[in-house]
Order: sequence, then C-alpha cells, then structure tokens
Amino acid sequence: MNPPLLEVAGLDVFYAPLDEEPRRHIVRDVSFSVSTGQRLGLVGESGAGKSTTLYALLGLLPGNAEISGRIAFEGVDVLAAGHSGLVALRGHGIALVTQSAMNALNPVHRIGRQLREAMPSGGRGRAARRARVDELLDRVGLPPSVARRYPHELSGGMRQRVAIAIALASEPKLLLADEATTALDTVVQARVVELLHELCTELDLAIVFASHHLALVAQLCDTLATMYAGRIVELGPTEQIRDEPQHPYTRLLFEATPDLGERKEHLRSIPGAPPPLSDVLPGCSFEPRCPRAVEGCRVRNPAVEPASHGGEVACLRPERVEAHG
Amino acid sequence: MSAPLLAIREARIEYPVRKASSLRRRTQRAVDDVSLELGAGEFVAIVGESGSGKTSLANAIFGLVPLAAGEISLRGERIDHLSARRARRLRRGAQMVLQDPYDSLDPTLTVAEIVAEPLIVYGIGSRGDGSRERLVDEVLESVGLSPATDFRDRHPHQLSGGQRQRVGIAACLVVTPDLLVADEPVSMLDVSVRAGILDLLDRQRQESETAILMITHDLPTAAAYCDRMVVMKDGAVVEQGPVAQVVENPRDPYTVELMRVTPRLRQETRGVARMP
Repeated sequence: MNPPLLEVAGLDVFYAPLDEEPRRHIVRDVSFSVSTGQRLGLVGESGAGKSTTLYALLGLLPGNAEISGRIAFEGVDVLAAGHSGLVALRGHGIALVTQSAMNALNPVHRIGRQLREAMPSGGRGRAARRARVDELLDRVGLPPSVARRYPHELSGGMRQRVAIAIALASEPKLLLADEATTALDTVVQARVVELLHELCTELDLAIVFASHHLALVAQLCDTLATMYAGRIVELGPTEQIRDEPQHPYTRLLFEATPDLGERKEHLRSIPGAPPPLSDVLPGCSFEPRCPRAVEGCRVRNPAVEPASHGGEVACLRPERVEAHG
Repeated sequence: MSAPLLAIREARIEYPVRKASSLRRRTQRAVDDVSLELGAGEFVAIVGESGSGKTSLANAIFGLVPLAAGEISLRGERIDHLSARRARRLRRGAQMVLQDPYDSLDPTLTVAEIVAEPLIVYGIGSRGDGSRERLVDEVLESVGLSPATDFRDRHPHQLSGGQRQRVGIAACLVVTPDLLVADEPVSMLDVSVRAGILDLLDRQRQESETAILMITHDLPTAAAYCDRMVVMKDGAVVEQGPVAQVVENPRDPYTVELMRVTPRLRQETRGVARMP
C-alpha cells in the first residue's frame, strides 16, 4: 500500500517564552494523515491550534517555536531535515491559502506577474508561462483579463480565487486552507467552496481546511477533526461524527451551531473557556467544561482510542450511541 | 393606533464619491428607499452581504450618517434633521451594540468606568452618593458578569471575547433603552459563546420589552432568534416577513439563492450546492 500523502505523528509545537511569560504548549501530540484527494476539516474554537498546526507543516511559525514529532510527505520525513526540510515543501507539493487574500497579494504587482512568480522555476519558456497564467485563471473561474489587473481592482471573491490560483501555480498535491472563506459573503463563500471541492475531485488535490465554521466544513470535507486546547480530540468520517459524535466537546460544538431553520431553543453555548496553553493539566483539558466529566477525568489524560464511528476519540467517557434512543 | 417604536420611511443614504479624473460631484447610493418598522419587544434581523447597506441604515438611526431623503422616527418623533443635542436626548432610549468587543472598549478604563460612562453622559444618578455604582453592579449581574465585584475593577484585556461583549451590552442596558441596534454582535466571537450572548439579548427583550434590531450576515443565527427578517441587497429591501416565511418560502430570487447556498449542518447528503 502506498504511504499516505501526508502523515503527521506526535506533532508538538511549543512557544519559547519571550518575556516573563511561561512556555506555551500550542500543539499537543497531534497525529493525522491525509491521502490523495482527501478533504480533512479542522474545527475548534480560536486558540485550539488549528492554524498553528497548518503553519507548522510549512515551517512558517515564528523563530521561538519549537517543533517536534514526525511530518512525512509522500513517505519522506521532512522534519528530520529540520527547518530547511519544511521550507523545501513550500511551493513543492504543499501550498497555503490564507484568510485575507488582500494581505496575501502584492498590491503593486499585476495578478499575472504574481502568478508567474509562484510557478516552479525553469523548464518553461516565456510564452508557456503566459499560457499557464490563463490556464490557472480559467481553472479558478476567472477571465484572462484578470492577469492585467491589480489586486485593488478585484472584488473579495475574485481576490480569493486569485490566491487559490497562486497556490495552484506550484502544482501542489496538498492545499492547506486557513479560514480561506471566512472573510467572504455567503454567496461568494459557497462559490469558493464549490471551487475547492471541484479542484479536489478533478486534480486529485488533497485539502486540509481549518475553519471555525462547522456547517461549511461539514459540507466540504469527508473527514472531520475536532481540536481542543492543542489536541485532536476526535477524528473520523464527517457524517458519522455529525450523527454520533463521541467526544462531548464535538457534540457541544454541533449543538452550539444553528442550522438554518432551527430555533434558539435548540442552541446551547458551551460554558467556560479553553484553558491557558501555558497550563499543564494532568487530566483531560476539556474536563473543567465537560458535562460528562467524572473524577478520573481530572487526573488522567485520555489516550486516543479507536471509536465506533471508524475514527478515533480521546475521551475517558465518550458519548454513547444509545443516548440517541 | 400608537406610533411604532422605530419607523424608517423611504430612507435614502448617499455617500460622496471623489474621482480624480472628474470635477463633477458624484454620489454612491448606499441605501435606496428603505422602509421598516419595529414595535416594542420585537426582535428583527436585517440580513444581507457586505455592501448591501445594512450598516449604513443602522448608522443612520444614530445620526452617524445623514439621510439624503426619507425620515426616521423614534416613538413617533422625527430624529433625523435634529440638532445634535436634541437628538442625543431622544436617542437615549436607543443604544448600539458594536461588532468588535476587542476594539470598542477603552483599554485604559475599568469595566465599572466603561459601564458608568453613559450614566454620566445622560446625567443619570449623581456622583458620590453611590447610586451610579449600584446601577453599574446591577446591570453587570444582569448580563451574567456575576458577582459584579469580580468584574468591576478589571480592564478589557483581562476578559474573554464573550465577557467583553457582555460589558458592551451592559453599557447599553445601563440607560434602560427601549431599542437596541446590534451590528454583528457575535460575528467576532467563538461559536461556543454566541448562543449565550444572543440569549442575553433575547431575555432582555422578553423581560423589558426592549426591541432588538440585529444586523448580520449569518442567516442561521438570524433565523434562530428573530421574529422577522429583512433581506437587503444593493441598498434596497428585497424581501421582509416573518422568519418562517422568509426561510421556508422565500419569494425574491436573491433570497432564494441566499437560502440555497447557506451550508446546512444536518442535510442528509453532503455535497456542494451547484451554481447555475
């Protein structure tokens, strides 16, 4: 069997203290894998470690970040080569699309030039590179005339499409999307999500889509991972997790998210707040907010175990299926 | 019949546009012929995308942008075209909850000072007899910042996003308004705390008959909390009506499209809505 496209095992990210702050443990023992064409969604509250996990994969974290664990791309452990191994992945295999396309684009260069710069160097003549610009724009549903435009001349949705085209210019196999549609209006957002879905299917592109927008993630991704306080606490097939979440936190996240047409009586907020990431808790980090917590949850940090939905869950008292009747 | 609490009639808002190439004055119409009424204790949402004019309309209620045409009345009294002083007195009953609780609170003030400021502005209570302090503590408790003694001396940076938004709401409620205009009150907050903030607004409406006008682009949230929904596009109202009707039987093509592309959490088959 082929190794998965991306394999992350036991990934830890610490931030070394800058002032008198304590050392912070941002990503805690995170393991997941992504195969060709797979769409993995990362959900969780702000500060759960979603973005840090994505940026760690590309070596884009600030200098005081300490990364350990295994990051293997196409079977090759890139972290073993240190920071330079991660940097080599950028533009060769993995590309990133961020939330704010306006900040990602250079305001003083035309779109065409920015697309050409993102192409792999060598091997292409001038004319071929220009043809490739048209092809990339067409791929994201934009007319060739956009190549001559500056970022400020484009709408938010068009800029996000350009950002995706730039990501595609390096012919990646994996796209990392960090709140890539959050700044867009509903209708535009739906079109960009449709585009991402299409790219995954037609180009066999894998995607890791980090977002706090649960409904959107559930719509785009076949696999769902819930992150809490730096850990992946539940991972598995989207539909099964949605229908039978095993981790109380996942269930509460779904209950806090309104579905169109659902009245307020069905909604609940999650009391409390995530723990500061400088804290080292002996037990489960969700225990202080968890309605199912028992004494043992305070002293034992649950290991990741196989769950009945075919994925995995880290909880001493996972939700039971019979609770649904 | 008595006048509605808030009545907006045929409101038009225009912004001047300056083009370097032209000496002529041009205007961009942001709100065009919008009429809207709000009764006591009603919870109404204005939904629409960025640029649809929903925030301009909210700002016009507070006189922050002038009307080019039309009128806005509060309890039957015109509040557009008033002198700043008279308008302020009238508007005491209408308060605005802002979108960004990270940006809208003065970082140098304590929670008690932030919440007491409207009392000072409107001359409610008096300094030194403890009446303002009592009002502040009461309102802090009522927005869930309880016990008030734990919160009154803190600064905004010592609070979570949800707690900050509660402070913002407390600063509105302390002058006992009968209208709250909330412009994207939860869009900056995590989904885990959103229901708590909206429940707080909803309770205020039920207990004190405070009318709430919520501006949002989040359709599911608007549909969950409001009685009526007003859909705006390109500065105009394209549809308004009871939530169930607008969500289940939208009539305007734009509303239909909006409902169709809103991601559903519990739809049976996953997949992405196809665009025509």
